[in-house]
This record gives sequence, structure tokens and C-alpha cells, in this order.
Amino acid sequence: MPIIEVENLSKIYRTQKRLPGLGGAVMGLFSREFTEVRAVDGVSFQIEEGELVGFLGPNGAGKTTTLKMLSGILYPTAGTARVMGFIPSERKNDYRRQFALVMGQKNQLWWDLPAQESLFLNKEIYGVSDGDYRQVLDEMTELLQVKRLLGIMVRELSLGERMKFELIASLLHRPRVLFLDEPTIGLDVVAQRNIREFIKDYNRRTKTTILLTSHYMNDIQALCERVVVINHGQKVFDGRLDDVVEKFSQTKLITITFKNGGVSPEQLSAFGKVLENTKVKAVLEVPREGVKGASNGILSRFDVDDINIEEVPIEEVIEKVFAGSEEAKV
Amino acid sequence: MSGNPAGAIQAKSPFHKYWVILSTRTQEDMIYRANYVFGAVFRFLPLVTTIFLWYAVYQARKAGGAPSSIRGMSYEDMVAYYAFMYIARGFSSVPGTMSDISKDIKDGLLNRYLIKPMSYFGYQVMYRLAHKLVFWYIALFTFPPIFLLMRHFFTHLPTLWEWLAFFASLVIAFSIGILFCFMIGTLAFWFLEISTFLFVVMMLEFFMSGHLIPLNILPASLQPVLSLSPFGYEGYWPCVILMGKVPQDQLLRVLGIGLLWVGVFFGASQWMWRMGLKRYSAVGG
Repeated sequence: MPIIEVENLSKIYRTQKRLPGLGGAVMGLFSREFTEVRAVDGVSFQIEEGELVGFLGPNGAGKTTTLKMLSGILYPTAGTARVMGFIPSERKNDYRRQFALVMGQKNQLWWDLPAQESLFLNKEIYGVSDGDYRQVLDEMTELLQVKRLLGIMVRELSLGERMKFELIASLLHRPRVLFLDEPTIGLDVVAQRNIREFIKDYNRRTKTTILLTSHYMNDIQALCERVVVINHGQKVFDGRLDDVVEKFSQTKLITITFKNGGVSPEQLSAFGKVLENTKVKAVLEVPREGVKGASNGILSRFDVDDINIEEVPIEEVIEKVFAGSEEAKV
Repeated sequence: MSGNPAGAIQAKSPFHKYWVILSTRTQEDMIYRANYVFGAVFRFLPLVTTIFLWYAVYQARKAGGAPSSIRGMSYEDMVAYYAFMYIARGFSSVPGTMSDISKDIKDGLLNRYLIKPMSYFGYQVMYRLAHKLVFWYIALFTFPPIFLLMRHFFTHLPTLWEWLAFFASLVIAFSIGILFCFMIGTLAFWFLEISTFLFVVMMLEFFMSGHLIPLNILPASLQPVLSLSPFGYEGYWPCVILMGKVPQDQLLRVLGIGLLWVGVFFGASQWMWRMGLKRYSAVGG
């Protein structure tokens, strides 16, 4: 049985429509017009226990709204969500003790106290036993290399260090389901990698089900085999990350390094679309099915030092997915 | 499905977590103890002006041949009233509560509490109680010398019953103070910007609590309203109880009405919270 079941989930916000400028603001006092915003529009998916799924979409696609509905912060306008058999919006304590939501930009640590005090407070709020607390705390602080920072005031920690404690605070009660909303936002490359590796390892060891949103494709690529892509509140893709590339990218990139100087663009364009062309190197975009023929042709025709065939970078593919659903909308 | 498969959850009193919230917040507040000391000493400065003002009033009355007391309050009583007001307000005023709650709601910070197995109301009560604990911890050192200096203004020796009623009235003062702030703060569920409104409400509360002028010297036509209003319990009633101005057979009645208000405010605040949360969950957070 899936641990997360989402069926036709919708959230419609009613917001006040404002006319522009000061005049509009004044008029707004007398007559109000409302518009409906479909933040999430009939989304369905299922997640099995232990899966680590990436939840993708451009800003305003409805990712955070969906996570909020799954966490019980928002009631759905229509459709149903079930997590571990619970209806999130009922906000039962039994449910709240078994999941965690980590938002990259909002923190739960007490600013003026050492992190250990906030962690202890969370232990008590979730009713974690002393023994389990010590065990989880030891393990996590070790893994994330923040043991020596436990006694330092949170306000004096770096953003990356705070994020690590944020994660620890959310994992003390060993949630079965973890929602991560942009856990690496604003972090430097090293801190991003640390957090990423930790999440991957944690999922592998504990079989915790994780639903993750991130704007960094590095995060998604490193962590998620499966992705759910939404745009304008609707699901546009659900499947293996590799399949996104297959489905949405009909081309591959061929990078050629020349031995003795370059080739004219006209000669190159016979094999595909020329993206870059210098004396040393050229990059061509070639339809998937034509890659074999093109590379053979290039190798026999030009003085080639090296040839490299790659998938289009995932960022670009995802951009295409977003753009595709944009066009479909229009 | 219930309980945690990892067996990490242990049975403890459901109130234990609130105790830890209280102790954690007390620790955090203690970091600002210098600020508290400063506040606990300098808050008495306005009292000096008040003493001079009332001295002038009573002198003028004396010169004009008017009776030496105003509605049963002598000059000494008047000064004692303002001094005791510091104690009463030390219980009933919970600074920042309204604006913090409305900010939590407005900025969506409420989310981080909603996902946890605890009550936001319980959290707020403990958080504010911690503030009072630290305030009184400091005040225990700074208040006595000041009250000792003013001892000749305290002409009434309270009876045991008056002492008991006084302490009970302080509990009522804190309860009404926090419940009222909680209610007003939750208005942010319905109105986006309420800071001006908060200011007006706070001024009204301040006046109706008797902080500015003893309620019994205000116009007689207002007395029925003032004597039954919940706000008198935030200042006026504790003071006059300690001054022996409430006849002993009236003490229980006064406290009873106060408790009734606590009940009404509690019910209203919980109802508003539930309604507000429904709206919050419906329109966004």
C-alpha cells in the first residue's frame, strides 16, 4: 500500500483583484473583486514507503501548496490526500508525530540559545525517550559534523550549520515521512553537497519516505530516481528522472575537438544544429536517432582529436518540460 | 495506525512539553536580564511625576476647603494605588503578545507550530509566563527597596483574606491579560494589517484597567460599566483589594466576576482560534 496517496488534489485560492496605482487602492476600499487562483489543480500521485521522490516545477507551480496540504497546514479545496493512512488536514497528534516538514527558508531553532536547547525542546514536544534522543543526536551530529557546535548560540552559526541543525531537529522523532522544501536554498556549494549526501544516506539507511523540492537540479539528480513535475498546478510528468530526458529531449549533444584547426559552420551543419564553433571545438545538437550516423560521418570527414556524445543537460530538459506545459496551456 | 514504529515515543504527561517550553523560554529571556533590571528600576520614574501631580491636586483642594479625600481616597491612598499598579501590571501586561501572534499568522510562521504535536495556545501561554517569571525574578530585587522608600504611603495593613484575594486577583490579572492579547492577535486571521487597531485597543485596555486614573474617581455614570468590565482586573481590582477598599464580604463577588471573565475570554479565544485556523487553512498560510 502506498504511504502517500494523492487523488485529484486541488487548492483554489480566492484573492482580491486590485486595480493598479493609488486610484485602484482607493477604489478597493469600496468595491472588491475577487479572482480565483488554482494553485493546485487535480494532482494525483502515489508514493511507496522508502521512496525518495523529487517534486519539480517552476516558482508558483503549486509545489509548496501541495506540501502544505500533505502536512495538514492547508485544507484541500477538492480531492483527497492520505499519508500513512491519515488525513493530514485533521492534524491528529498521531500523524504529526510521524512526519516532518523542513522548509529551507523558515527555521524553528531559537535564535538566542544554543542549538542543543531547541533540539531538547523538540525531543520533549515529540515525546522522544532519553535513550533514543541521545542515540539519534549522537549519530546525526557526527554525520553532519556539527557535534562541537551544539553549545553555540544559533545566531552565531552559519546558514549551512543552521540548516544542518534544522534537519536534525526535524529528524529527532524519526519521522516515517519527510517533506523537504528547498533544503539547500541559499547554501554554498560545499554545504549543499553535505546536506545532499546526508539526505541520500539517511533515506538509504532508514527507508524514510522523502518528498523533496529543489530548484537545484544537482540535488534532484543526486537524490531522486523518480520525479513528479508540476506546472500551473497540474502534473505534467511522473516517472524516472532518466525518462524525463528520453521523453522531453529528442536530441543529444556531440562535442568535437579538432586536431588541426576548425571546420566551417556550413560543413558542420550537414550533421546537426551548430551550437558552438571555434578553431578548437564545436558543439552540435543532433536528433537522437541520427547520432550514430552523424558521429561516423564526422569521424570520417574531419580531422578529429576527440568526440563526445552527451545528453542535453537536465536543467535544459526540465526547462523544456516547463515550457512545453506552458505552450499546452496557451 | 498509531504510535511510532521506531519505538521512539515514550509515555509522559502531555503537559510535560509545556513545562520544557517554559524552561527553555526562561533561559532565553535570562539572556536579556540586564534589560529587565533596567526596566524594573526605571519603570518607576513616571511614578515620581504622578506623586507630584497628585500632591498638587490635593494641596489645591485643601486650599479651596474641599474634603481631603477624593471618593474615599486620601493622598497617601492615591500614591499607594499607583505603586501597587506596578505589581498588578507586572502580572497582567504581556508585552508583544498581540503583535507576535498577529505576525505569526500574517507571515505564515504559524506553520512551524501547526505541524508539531502541540497546542499553539499552550505554547504562547508558557512563552509569556516565562517572561513574567524572569520579570519577577529581577523585580524581587528591585521592587522591595522602592516600596520600602515609599512605606509611609501604605497606610492600610491588609488582612489575611485581603492578601489571599490579592494573590488570586493577580492570577486573574495574568489570565485576562494573556487571553485578551491572544484574542486580539488572532484577528490577524481575518485582517491583514491590524497594527493601528492594536494600538487603539491597547490604549483602551490601558485606560479601562485603571492604570492612568483609579476607576472609582471617574464619573459616576461610568461606574456600572467600569466595575463590571474585564479590564479592571488587569490593574484596578488587585490594587484596591490590597488597599482594603473592597469590603470583605465583597471580595468573593469581585473575584467571582473576574473568574467569569476568564472563562468567557478563554471560551472566546478558543472559538476564535478554531474559526481563524479554519480560514487560514482554507485561504493559505
